[in-house]
This record gives sequence, structure tokens and C-alpha cells, in this order.
Amino acid sequence: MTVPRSPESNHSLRKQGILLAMLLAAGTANAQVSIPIPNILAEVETFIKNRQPADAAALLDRVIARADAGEAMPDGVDMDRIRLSAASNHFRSQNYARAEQVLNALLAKNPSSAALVGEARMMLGLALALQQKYADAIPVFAAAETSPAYRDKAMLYGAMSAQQAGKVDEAIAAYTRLLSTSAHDRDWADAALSLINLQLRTGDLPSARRGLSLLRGNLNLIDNLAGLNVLSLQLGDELTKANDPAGALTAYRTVLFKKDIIDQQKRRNVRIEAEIKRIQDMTTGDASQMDFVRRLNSRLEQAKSAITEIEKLDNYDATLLFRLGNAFQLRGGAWEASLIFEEVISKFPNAPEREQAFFGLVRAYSESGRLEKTKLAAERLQANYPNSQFGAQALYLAAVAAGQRNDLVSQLQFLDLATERFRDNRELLEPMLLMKANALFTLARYPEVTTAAQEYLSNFPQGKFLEEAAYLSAMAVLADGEASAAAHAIKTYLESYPQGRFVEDARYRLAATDYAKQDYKSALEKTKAWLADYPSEHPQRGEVYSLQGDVYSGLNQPLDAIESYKSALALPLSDEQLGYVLDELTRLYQGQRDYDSAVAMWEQFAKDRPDHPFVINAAYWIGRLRSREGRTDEALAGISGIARRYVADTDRDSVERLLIEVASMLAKPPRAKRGEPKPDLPSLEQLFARVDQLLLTSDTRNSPTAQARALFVKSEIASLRKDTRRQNELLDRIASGNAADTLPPGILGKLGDRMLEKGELELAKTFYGQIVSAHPKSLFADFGYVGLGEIALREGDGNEALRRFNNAIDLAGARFKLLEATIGQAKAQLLLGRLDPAQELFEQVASNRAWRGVATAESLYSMGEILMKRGKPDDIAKAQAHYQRVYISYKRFVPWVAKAYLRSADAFEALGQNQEAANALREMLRDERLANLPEATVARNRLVTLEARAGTTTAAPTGGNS
Amino acid sequence: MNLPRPLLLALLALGGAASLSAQSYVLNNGTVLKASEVKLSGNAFVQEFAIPGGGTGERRFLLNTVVRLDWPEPAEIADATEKLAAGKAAEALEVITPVYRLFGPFTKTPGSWWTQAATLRLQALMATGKDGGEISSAAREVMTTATDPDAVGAAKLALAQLDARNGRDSLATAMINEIVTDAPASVRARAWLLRGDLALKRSSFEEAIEAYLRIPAFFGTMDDLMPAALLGSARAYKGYGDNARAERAFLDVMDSYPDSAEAKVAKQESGF
Repeated sequence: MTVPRSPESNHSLRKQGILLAMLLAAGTANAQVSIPIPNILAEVETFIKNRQPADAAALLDRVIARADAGEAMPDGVDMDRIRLSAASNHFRSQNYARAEQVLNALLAKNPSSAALVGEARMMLGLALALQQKYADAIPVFAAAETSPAYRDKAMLYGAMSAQQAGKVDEAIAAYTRLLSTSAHDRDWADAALSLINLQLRTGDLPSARRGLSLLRGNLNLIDNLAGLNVLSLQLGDELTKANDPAGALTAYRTVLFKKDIIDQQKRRNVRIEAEIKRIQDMTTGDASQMDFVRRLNSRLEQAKSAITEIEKLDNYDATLLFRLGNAFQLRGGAWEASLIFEEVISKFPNAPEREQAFFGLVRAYSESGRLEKTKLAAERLQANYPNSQFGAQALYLAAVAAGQRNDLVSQLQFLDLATERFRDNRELLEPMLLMKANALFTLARYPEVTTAAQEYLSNFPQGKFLEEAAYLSAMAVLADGEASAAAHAIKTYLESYPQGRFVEDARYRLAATDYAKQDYKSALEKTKAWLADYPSEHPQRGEVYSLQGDVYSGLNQPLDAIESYKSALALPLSDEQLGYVLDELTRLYQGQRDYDSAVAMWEQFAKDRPDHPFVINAAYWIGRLRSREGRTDEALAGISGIARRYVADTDRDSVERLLIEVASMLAKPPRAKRGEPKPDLPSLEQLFARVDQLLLTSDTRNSPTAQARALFVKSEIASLRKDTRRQNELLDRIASGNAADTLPPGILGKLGDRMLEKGELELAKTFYGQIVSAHPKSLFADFGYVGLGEIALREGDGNEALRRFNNAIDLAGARFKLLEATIGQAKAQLLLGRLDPAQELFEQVASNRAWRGVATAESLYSMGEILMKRGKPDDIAKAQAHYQRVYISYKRFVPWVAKAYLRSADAFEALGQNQEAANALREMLRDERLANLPEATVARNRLVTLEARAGTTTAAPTGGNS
Repeated sequence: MNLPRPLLLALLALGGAASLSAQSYVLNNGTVLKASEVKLSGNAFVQEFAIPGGGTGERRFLLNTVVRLDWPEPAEIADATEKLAAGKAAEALEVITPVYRLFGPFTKTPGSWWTQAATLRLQALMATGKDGGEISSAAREVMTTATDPDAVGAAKLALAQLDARNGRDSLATAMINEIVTDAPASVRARAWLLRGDLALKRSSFEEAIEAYLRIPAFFGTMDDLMPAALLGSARAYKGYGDNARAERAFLDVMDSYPDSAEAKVAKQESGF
């Protein structure tokens, strides 16, 4: 805004300046002296240039007074502009009251220039606001909104005035209007901050959250980043309290860490200071610019003070991280939470949040299903904060996590520790004692269940879980095979809780105890009563019918048994019960030589439930029963008919079981018909052609998956015909001709094993990797985990190997590869130098009768290795005994025998028994099976050394002359 | 005139883009040389002047006497940045290379735009899939010459990416380990992404999940990296066997970053 210039030159003005000042100083006393208006205006401009707005304003007031007194103004002097200029200079000199007066007078004259009116209104609003007449300022700014030039600023100031006037709703409405229509600049960002602040104060958290999200994308516009940090933290806290963790997370994620906020705010402060200086250097500038400076100063001051405060806070980042971790945790982001809590723990050893971070870590690992890490975190919490208030909760959570992962042994360890250490925590002790009884029950440690249940009952005679404890105890007795005692316990339960939660189950179990005691009559009565008393939709009804079938079988009434089982079959049953009932019916039909009914039952089942996993059982039985009748072709047709349905579907992993059955039926030599010569054995090529006929249809012939499955059946046939070369050739053909993602997990597992055997690790890794990434829930998932574990072992990565083997058991259930997974765990632990767990696992393998064989030899040898590592004479003697057991009891496993002989000699030597060492080596070299192994060469050399040391000259056997 | 051809091209290219009058070299004796009035010759600037009475003479100013450049940001920097973001790496390279060469003699001089140009050139080289040797020497040049930690970190990351691209995973991992320890946040975040990619490649799903999730956990304001981090985590969760979390991560990419390239991939891979 500029004052209108007079036409006279600056030169003449300067000459008159001193005189004019003197005249003015004389004031009204010399009223008769009238200075020409142009001269006054020229002096006004000089004052403005010299940054003397008060002087300029005083002169302009005089001009206004003379005009108001009726003096004619020279041509070109616009009184509206003069009044506006006067107001502006009053404003600049902070004489807001006078500015208000002048502007009101100006606006009362209804000036014709819309631009001037807009500017006047803006200035008036500001003048009012700066006199704290906020309520008066609101309508003035609202009127100024009509001016296109001042629209945004008027809205901003209007909102600010409403906020100051305590008219929060009005302020929110004005800010919202402004933010939705104005350009995204620094004022916009500041307005957004103010709006969020108001929304936060009024509890409108969703709107505050939306506002903050909007600001996140415009962080560069925010002057007061520190203010944003504070607001974000407040909003995050409020949203956490309001149970909106996603919102809290959004809020906390806007908050910068200490170093970042300080650096960025300092850079912004420099920018603000430069801008203030730039505006202040302007000789003119409208009122809103002046107010902008004032606001910039205020923002700068706030930001600086916030930074000073933040700099003082040693714990700033730890607090922020903890809040973030907590928000992630509450939102289900257990993985992110664990990363954050680990950061708090490692980076802030003295932060008060550290203890809670440990607890958060236990929860996070538990919720992300990482049992090992959960256990470790609970232990770390115990070690770092032995008296932590979170200790019991952490152990409880670790126990829950272990239970969820079916690791009941660990669950019990946590529960034992927690119930021992934190016995005073009654709130947690109660569920933990019951959980312990449950875990013991699942582990089939039935006598201990009763003890645990008793512990609960004695500690909590009025507890919440009395009924559960009593019933669990009765069930433990039943499961332990104590039918009479169980019946007594169940009856006691029924007397104590006639309306209890488990009455229906108890009555069914009571019938089961009669059945177990072979009191079939009573059992039958009880099942009949049960079926009569409870509605037809009762979920346990099928189970009761199944028991009734058992009872009839016990009573040798097969037809009644068949009827009961058929009734059971028509009702909902668990898969386990369903399998049992189907098998019992099959058995009973077979007993009646009613194969057609059995086949019809399975065919019906396959038809009714085409997607049920037991369809494969159906195919198996149909084939088996028809085959028993000598109807092999019919059997093959039945099985392959079902197999063909799924042959192109990689996710149908149980198809492989059928394919193996097909292979086995085809590979069997054909039966000779009575009186006819034995038919020729079909060639492999003939059988292979039959496989294609049986499995590939016009729909599936081009499917890579179906083709691979046909090749797989052929490889199985080759294997059954003992043609290993052909078998491997076929497997290699599948491997080279199919992308991993076209293969089902059963075949991937076979191929992985084949490639591992061939030493093609990368290819093996691809096949195994495909199983765990694409079919983690498959029947054959353990092939993938174990295979990857083996590869990790070969690559010397013990941690990775252990993780894979653990997953084979924990995630995949190790249906096929439990032995390999267990021995793999042991080897990984050994590789990691953890001798105790390695030894425990090797002992587990060696003592398992079902696994007796090469795994036993390897385990015994490895146990010897562990003892050798321990190194005490007693350990070495035990190691020697283990090696000896290998070469005496497991002679069949030549590679292990060779290794064991050598290490046996080492052990003897370490014990100073060189003669025995030499004897062991001689014995080894006498075994001709070992003669060509590299160990034999080592043995010969060692023997020479030993004999030389002993001074003997006996020639070392060269092998092969036992 | 001994002006080398590349520099001449650079000057020609810059001529149209930036105001030459605002481009000047400040020498240690306070002399200000306008870029438009000097030519580069060997290790010096040459300024021609008219000799009174006819003819011209030459003044030489050694390059090592330049202590500051008064030079507004060359428009090519913004242009190349935009082209890179739009996936036009070859064009970005063409635009930025003259700037990189122009400021070549002043790699560390205050006011020089060499570091920005060299970093952009390196990114463009990476994106064009150029020869590994050229990328490697460009990265090493930035690492040894630049003083800006962001630029040095970005160059280290480029080397790690190059190693990863060429299957030298252990070398890539070693470089990433260095970056995540001491680089500025933006580079660190990118390094974690690469680490996630490497772990995923070798089916180390737990490690991959942890690497990817560092982005939302610790670099929550870096929205540009979020889609890649979420998509990576979805894949890693899937491999780990946590299908529920995988599904959620896929949906997160699709819902929160619907316009990103990763959202399209997530849609395909998740089957939603």
C-alpha cells in the first residue's frame, strides 16, 4: 500500500521539510497557518520511507481532519486512500484503536473501490483482533472473505479470532472452509495445525486424525514442526485411549526422532528468520503482511522453545519408540512391535520404558508365533529385571504362545517357573494353574493332571474354574484307563454340577466307562437315554451313535452296529471320528462279506463330499476292496477316476498318495487264472502307457502338473520294479521339464531330495523353497523345511538350519520327516556349539526303537563327538563306548563304522591307551568293506605312527584279508 | 580455443536452461568471473580482453584459485530427477551428464552442483541397467569425492544393488551392513529394503520380514518406500507361512497406495 504522491518534486519537498516540521511542532496554537496538503503528503511519504509510521499517521490524521472540516482537497487526492493510509500507519505504529476508528469511518462512507474495501476490512479485523476484540473481529473478517484478494487470509484470521473468542465450533468451521478451498501453503499448514489442535480439544479424534494424515503429505509446509510433533503425540495418546491403534500409529509415525526434529526445525527456523527479515525490510506492506511477521515470530518462538525442551529430554526417542511399538502391537503389528522394542532395549539401557519394552517384546514375539524368541525374551526380562512387575505376565504370555504352537513342554516350563516365582500374583496364578492341568492332560501325563487340578482346588476353593478343574481331573482318570475310578469321578462331578457345562459330555463319558468295563448292557442303556434326552441337533450326537456302534459290536450285533455307525455317519463328526466310523463300517461290511455295501458307502462319500481329504481314503478302499475280489481293473478305474479329478491341481497334495497306490497296483505281477499259464510280466513301457491312459484325459493332457504326476507314477513303478536308473531318469525329467510352481508339494519333495542327493543344491533349494512358500500347509511341507535345513547345514549356517528343522516340526508337523528333522535339529545345535541340547536330541533319536538304523548309528557317533568335545577323561571314556557301540552293533552302516573306528582310536589315545587305539585300527583294517574308504588310509597311517611310537614293527594290515 | 568437447556441449546445453549472468566463479582474491566470459583451458579459465588500440589479450585464472561458485541450481537437476521418477532413465542420463562434467573440476567447491549431478547420474546409470563397470566407477567416484553423507550413502547403496543384481549377495550384504550402521535415514531405509530382497531371494523369510518391516517401524514418514516394503513383507509372510498377515500386507499396499506399481503386483500375487 502506498501513499499517493504529490506532483511536486522530492527536491522542493526536502527544502521545505525543516520549515514544515517547525510549523507542525507549533501545533494547533498556530491554527491559522495552513500547510498545503501536497506538502503534507510529501512529508508523509518521507516519514514512511524513514520507517516513522506514527509520524506519518499523525500527518494523515490532520489531512483527514481538514477534509472532514470541509476543506477542498487538491486534484488527484483520494480521501479514501488517505484514510486507508492513515489507518495503515496507525496500525504499523500499533495504535490499533485509532486504526479501528479511521477504518470504521472509511467503511461508513461506502467507498466504491471493492479492492479498497477488502483491504480496509482486513485491516479493521486485524486491528480489532489485536485489541483482543475477537468477537467483533469475526464478522469483519467474514465480510472481508468476499474480497478475492483477501479471501484466504480473511478466513484464516476469522478462524483465529473465533478460536480466541472461545467460539470453537465457529473456528473449526472456518478452518475447515479454509483448508478445503485455499492453496496449500505455509499458512494453510499452520491453519491445519490449529484445526487439529481444536479437534483434539473437542475430542473429535477422527477429524483430527484425518487432518494429520493430510499434513503428513505436506510436511515441507510446516514451520512449527516441533508443534506438529507435540500435537501428533497428544493425538496418538488420545487415539490409543480411544482404542484406535491404527489412528494412534498414524499420529505417532508423524513424530520425528530427536535428532531429526532438532535438525529440521533449526533449518526451518533459519528460513523463518530470513523471511521475517525480508518482510521487515519492506518499507510498505499491508496489515496482513505485518501480522504475518507477528505470527511468524510467534511460531518461531514456539518452535525454539519446543526444541529447547526436546533437547533437554534424554528419553525423548525411547518414549516415542515405546509408544510406536505399543501402537503397532495393539494394531496387530507384532513383527513391527518386536523390532521397535528390541531397539528400545538395545539403544536405551537407562530408559524407564526399557522394562516395559521387554514385556512388550515377549508379547510381540508371542503374537507373531515365534516361540524360541518368546522364550528368550521372557528369560531376558527375568535376567534384566528379576523383580519386574511384568514378570508373571510375560511368563504367562510365553506359556500361552507355547500352547498355541503346541509346544506343551515349554508351556509347562513357563508355567512352573511363573507359578513358583510369582505365587503372590493370584490374578494370574489361577488361570496358570488351570492351564498347567490342561497342558499335562494334552501331554497325557494324567496322574499329574489330578495333582495339578488338586493344586488349583486347594488354592482357589472359590475359584472361577472349579468346575473345569473337577471335570479335567475326572477326564484324566478316564484317559489313564482307570474306568471304575473315572466313573466314580464323573458321577461325583454330575452330583456336584447337575446343571454344569459338561453334563452332556459327562453322561456320554460315563457310558464310555461302562463300555471300557465291557458292561455293554449298561453302556447301551446310557447311550439310548442320552439319545432320547438330547435334541437331534446336539453336536455330540454323532459321537454317541459311534459309541453305540462300538457297544453293539461288543455285544456281537454287527447289523445293529452298522445301523448305529450309519446314523453317526449322517451326523456332524470330527475328521478323526469320521475316519473311525468309516473304517469300522468298512470292517463290519467286510466281516459280512458285503463288499458292495462297503464300496457303495465309499463311493457315496466321495460323491457327497468330493473335496473332503478322505476322498483319497475312499479311492484307496474302493481299489482295495475291488482288488481283493480280483477286480484289479475296476479297482484301478475307481482310484484313477478320483485321482483324475485333481491331477492338474497342485494344491491337492493328497493325490500323490493315490498315485502311489496306482503305481503299486500296476507294478504287481498279474495273477494267473486257474488252469492258465502265468501271464507275462508287462514291460515298463506297457505300464507307462497304461499310466497315461488312466491319468491323462483330454482336459488334463496338456497340463504340466498332470504330466508331471504321470511321470511321477512311472518313476514309482520303476522303483517298485527295482529299476533305480529309470526311476532317477524319470525324476530328473520332471525336474528339468517343469517349473517349480507347476508341481505339487509331494513331487517337489521327491525332486528336492533327488537333487540334494545329486549335489545340485541350488535346484534342490528351488524345489524345497517352493514347498514352503507356496504350500506351507501341505501334507508334505516337512520335505521343504527339512531339505532347506539340510542345505543350511551343508552351508555351515547352524541358526538357519535349526530354524528350518524347528519349522519342519512346529509348522509342518513333520508327518514324513520327523526323524530327519530331529536329527537335523541335533546336528544344527552341535554346529552351533550347543552341546547339551544337541546331546539331548541325539539321545532322543538313538533311543527311539522305530528309528533304529542308520540314524541310530549317526546319533551314537555324534554323542561320542559331543563327549569328546567335553574333553574330561570320564567323557572321553564314554565317547569311546559310543564309538564302540557303532562298530559293534551297527555294522551294516559302513560309513559310520569307519568313522567310529577312527574316533575310537582317537579316544583311546586321548586316554593314553595307545595299545587299544592300535587294536581298534587293526580291527578296522581287517574289515574288507572299509578297505577302499578314505578312512582306511587314515587308519593305516595312524597305525604306523602308533606302532612306531610303541616301538613295535607289526605290519599294518592292508585290508581285505580278514 | 582449447575447450574440451564435452565441456563445450555442457555449456551449450546449459546455455538455454539457466541464466548465464547469474553464473560466476569467485576466486581467492575476490575476483568474480562470469561464466559467460571465460573459457576452460586445461587447468585454468581463460578470459579474453581487448587491447586498447586494437587486438585482444588473454588472462588465465587457475582453477585451483576458485573458492566458490555463485550458481543457481541448474534446471537439468530438476529435469533429470523428474525423468528418473518417470522411469525415463536414458533421457535423465543424457540430461544430467553435461552438468556432471561441467562441475567436474569443482567437486568440493562450495556452490558447486557436482554432488547432486553425480548422484543423479549414478541413479540414472543404475536404472538404465548400464554396464556394471561404469556404475561401479561412478559409485566409487561419489563415495571418494563427495562430502555429503546422503550422496556417499546413496553411492554405497548403488554398489550394494549392483552386487545384488550380479548375484554377489555376500558382498551386497557386507555393504548393506555398513550402510545401515552409519548412513543417513533415507539411505538406511533403502538399504533395509534391499536387505529384505536379498533375504527373500534366499528364502530367509523371517529375516526378510524383519528387514522390510523396518520401513514402517522406523521410517514411517517415508511414504515413497512404503509400497515396496509392504509388498516385500507380504511375500515374505507368505513364504514364512503366515498367510493371514500376508493377506493383510497385500491389502495394505492395495488400499493405502492404490496408484503405486506395487499395488498392481499385490493384486496379481494375492489374487484379490
